[in-house]
Amino acid sequence: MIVTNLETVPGHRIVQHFGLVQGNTIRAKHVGRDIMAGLKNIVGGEIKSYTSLLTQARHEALERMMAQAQELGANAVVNVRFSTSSVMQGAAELLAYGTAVLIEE
Amino acid sequence: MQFPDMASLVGQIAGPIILIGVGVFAGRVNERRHWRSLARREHVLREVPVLNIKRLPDGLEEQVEWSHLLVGEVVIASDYFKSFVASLKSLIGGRIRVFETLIHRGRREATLRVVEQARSEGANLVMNLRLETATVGRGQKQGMPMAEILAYGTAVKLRQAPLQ
Repeated sequence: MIVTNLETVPGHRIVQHFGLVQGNTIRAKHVGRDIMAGLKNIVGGEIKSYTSLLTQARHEALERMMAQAQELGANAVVNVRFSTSSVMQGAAELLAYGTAVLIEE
Repeated sequence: MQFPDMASLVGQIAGPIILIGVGVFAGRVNERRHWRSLARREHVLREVPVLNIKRLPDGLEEQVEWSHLLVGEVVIASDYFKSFVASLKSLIGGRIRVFETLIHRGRREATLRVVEQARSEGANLVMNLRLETATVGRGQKQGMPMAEILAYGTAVKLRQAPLQ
């Protein structure tokens, strides 16, 4: 499955639209991560555990979106956007959404 | 009677001062190192242009071999000194320069991660780059300030390298 955030898949022709597909996830961090983050807030620098949390959340959101597209019989998702929300404090909340389409191979 | 009170008072004041001191030195070292690393990596990645337009210029569309989404994310913490300066600044209002540099570094780092991935996969350009801010660590009791950035774009591989 091809995923792009352009309006088309360059080099392919879109033959059918299936409408909007989306995948969301909310992943909470654990206390160990907080302790490391607390230390990092003294010296500054990247908090790798939060970055990886964000990576996992993004991965999961994309997977769900792609699974939904697959169910519809699409072979590509175009114009993908990410959005973040704040349902709960201290959790990574991500929404990935796009348009499921069928492209000519 | 007053002596223990004084001692605890000194302890209470000394704690934050030590933390600020650590923040000044470690924070500055970390930030400088990051600036240098950003400059070095950006220099290497000049060959992969990053665009935030959606459509390929005419004539390039037929040249596309493959294209797909790439995402880069980063969470960068502020140091204690920056947080302290910012909290003072928020009393009088105005520009908080220490956080401007923090979030700027975050955006550049996240973008770089997208482009580095694109380059390692052999892509020629990254199109429609978007930046989004996340909220993983925010909303703590003490409100630890941090830059949480998500960058995403579409890597495009062309059969022929575009004319520079």
